[in-house]
Amino acid sequence: MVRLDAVRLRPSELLNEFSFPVSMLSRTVVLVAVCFLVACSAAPKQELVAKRSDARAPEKNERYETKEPSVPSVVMSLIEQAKTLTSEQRFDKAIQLLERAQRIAPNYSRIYLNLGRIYSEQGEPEAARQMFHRAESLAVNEQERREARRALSDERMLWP
Amino acid sequence: MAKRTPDKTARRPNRWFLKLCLATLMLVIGSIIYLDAQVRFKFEGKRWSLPAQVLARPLELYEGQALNLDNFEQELLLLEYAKDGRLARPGTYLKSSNTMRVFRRAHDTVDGRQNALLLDVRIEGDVVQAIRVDGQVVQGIFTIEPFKIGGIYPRSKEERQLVAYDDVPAGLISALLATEDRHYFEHYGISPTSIARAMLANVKAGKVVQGGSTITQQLVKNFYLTRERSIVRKLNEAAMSLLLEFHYSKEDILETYINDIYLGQSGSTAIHGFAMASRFYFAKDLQDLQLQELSLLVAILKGPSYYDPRRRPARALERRNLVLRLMNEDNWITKTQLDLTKTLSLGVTPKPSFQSNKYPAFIDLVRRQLSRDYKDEDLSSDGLRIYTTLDPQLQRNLEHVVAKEIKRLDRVQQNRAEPIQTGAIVTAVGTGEILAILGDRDPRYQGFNRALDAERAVGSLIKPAIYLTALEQSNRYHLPSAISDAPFVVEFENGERWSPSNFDDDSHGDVVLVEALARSHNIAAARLGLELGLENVKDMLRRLGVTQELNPYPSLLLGAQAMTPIEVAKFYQTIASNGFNMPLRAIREVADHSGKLLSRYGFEVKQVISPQASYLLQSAMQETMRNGTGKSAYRVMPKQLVTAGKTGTTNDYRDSWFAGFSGDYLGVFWLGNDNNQPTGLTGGSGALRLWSGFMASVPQYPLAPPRPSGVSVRWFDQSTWKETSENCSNAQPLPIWGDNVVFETQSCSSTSNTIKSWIRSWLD
Repeated sequence: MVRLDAVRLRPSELLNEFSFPVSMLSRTVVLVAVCFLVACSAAPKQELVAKRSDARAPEKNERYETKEPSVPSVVMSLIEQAKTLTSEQRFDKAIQLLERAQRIAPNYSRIYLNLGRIYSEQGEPEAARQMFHRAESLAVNEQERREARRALSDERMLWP
Repeated sequence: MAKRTPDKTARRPNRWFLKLCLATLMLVIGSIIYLDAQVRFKFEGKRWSLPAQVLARPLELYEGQALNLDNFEQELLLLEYAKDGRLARPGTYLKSSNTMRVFRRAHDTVDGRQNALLLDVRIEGDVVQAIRVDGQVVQGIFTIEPFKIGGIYPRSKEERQLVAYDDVPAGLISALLATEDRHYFEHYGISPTSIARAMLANVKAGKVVQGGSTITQQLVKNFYLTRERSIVRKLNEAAMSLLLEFHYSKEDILETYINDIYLGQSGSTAIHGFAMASRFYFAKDLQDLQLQELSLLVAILKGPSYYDPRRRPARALERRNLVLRLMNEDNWITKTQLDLTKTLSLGVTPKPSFQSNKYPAFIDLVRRQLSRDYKDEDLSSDGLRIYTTLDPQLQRNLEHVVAKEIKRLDRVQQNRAEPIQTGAIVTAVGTGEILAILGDRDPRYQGFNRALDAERAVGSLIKPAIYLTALEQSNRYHLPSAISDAPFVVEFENGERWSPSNFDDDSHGDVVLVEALARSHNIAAARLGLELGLENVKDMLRRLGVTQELNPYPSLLLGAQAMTPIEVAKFYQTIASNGFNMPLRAIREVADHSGKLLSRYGFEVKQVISPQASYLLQSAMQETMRNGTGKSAYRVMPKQLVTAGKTGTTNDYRDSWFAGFSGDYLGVFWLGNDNNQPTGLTGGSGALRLWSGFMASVPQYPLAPPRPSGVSVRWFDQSTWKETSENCSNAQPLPIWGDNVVFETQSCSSTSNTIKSWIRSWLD
């Protein structure tokens, strides 16, 4: 669950640390909560296998179930930050943050969607398309799939 | 007038003299300017050649992160954090059953300076639950400083270890001063008194017994490549010493001397500088040396070969004690210290320890990627910081598992002529980052890097390319499609015949595609490959990322194709990432000494296989792990960890391969002999054990690719492979691509079958 009580202001000595401003924080929390609800309704969540786990193998009927990837909340805030940077045309920094998010949650479709949008703005349609393809291949629900497809068709309209 | 005449005659030689003086002066000034330029150029060349620092990935801590407490502790120990309950200073930690309290050190990242900070990290079930600072839960990413893997000179490819003046142990400086140059901090580069004393001693002895060179002069001497002895050279050296002192501080000159002086030889590699010598002779860092060790290094400086402490211990000991006596004479050490230290042994390691970095195979890879991806001009500035992808926790686990397994193999196969060898590479499935690598059975070995350079026949590792070629044709092939495993012969135009056989020398008649791959049937794969067309399979291999020349004969279908482990990793990376090609990267970023990022090579992808075909292939490779040749992995891996993989064995058991992946990691392992002699191991009995041992050592997410549109799950009878109902006891699900695919159906199997399957599942 998203623990709203756990979200506090950072202590002042953390100024240089990566953490996010409150307004963005609250937005993010809402976003996370929404995603979480969507996730609950759509697909089961992926579970980590600990080093010494004695959990059972997945049941037969669970084998080919689509599962939501684990997306820690920091990933959401990295994406939000990257969006802000993108709107300020600071593409390199935005890409850097998205790649940081990608290392944490490599199967999260929206990271690639945002990377694609940056490449599109930078005038690299081929790179953008590939990112949208990647986003589509990782989509775990209809909404993510729709977003990726729309981005792809927009890109094709822009650069046929 | 009369007086003038003699004047005139007298003046003429004067004028000549003046001209001569002027010319000489010009010459002297000219040569001083020349020498000055020379000395500055040479000195800067030595001084500023700071190596590029290669850094591992920094550990990032955040809520929801997969992190094992023990692995975390190991990384802290690698970074030389001390276990200390008081947690009073940065660089200490305290571990309890589910919490790591760590006072992390201040450090620089690409995002700027990170302060020293006391972090409270609660970990349960290998997941970070919360991070507290001052008792408060704080969200965000907290980095621990990256491990410094080593230094490289990107251009010269030379490795050198340097030490900054402030980090030089005081004992080394005093030993140097006492032995080499007492008045170093007073003179201007040359010391007339020392020269006079040396001359006197030499005259007395009738030969050269003593040199009067200052430390500055010794350094200047090293600017020349030849060892010529002439008056002109001596004068030049003296002038250059004066000029050097004029331009640079005493500390700068001494620092350069300490990093440059020749102190020994390891094969073709010269040991320059005290930091490197410290590792070479004592296998320790310079900062950790004691007085007896520091004084020994200063002792051998006069003649590293003559005073070689390994080959001439008596000579070295005598001279070390002389150094100590000189130090005592100059009051650098007390009489008690002298007497105590004199009795200590030399303390050098028996074998030269020339391990300049902990991860030679990885450094090798970084060096190659630097020269491949970055321009020489970018790499020419000094003090670069190279941020890499190496994960020290995974690397440690990899080394650990391989060492254990190799030890077991050495014990079981004692009659082996040469030690069995290995090469391994681990990448991140989602990003293509290379996380860990092994180029030799000894992870510290600097030499032939098998992960990158050992080209070995891949055997059945090739088969996924064949089955993928088939599965792309969704109108013809499905996972439960029947294919033949009956023996056959190919006759070539030149009359040669090729007839593949199965591993168990048995034909399995008609089999289905998923089973044929899972159980690695050779005949079925070869038949299928020929049916699809050799060219199409080769084309598939190229799409998957194989760039090398491919064997043009049908034997390619059974893996008569040599590849390096990293080439196999490229190929399997595409399979693991649902049909997307992505370059395997060891470097994240390169920053110059001021922290400014150079042009970077970010994440790139290219879709080469449809998500549907990739999904089907991954499913078949999951079946390999559940019921096929990879099944034994679950003796050590948690059952919950869904993986996909493939074994590879070549003729007469020469090569044992395994390549497989979970949701997070792809591992490619090879075991074999350098001389290509049989190992007696199959992929399953050799490399698979390494892979599964490694996979069991790290928390990770199981493989769970999202099911692409157009693919549905249908149920099939496990023995007849006819479509049946989910409720049947013998039914198993398989993904099918296409909506209107019709399969032969059957109702739930008869009772006898049910009992048989019940017994089978019970025995499993």
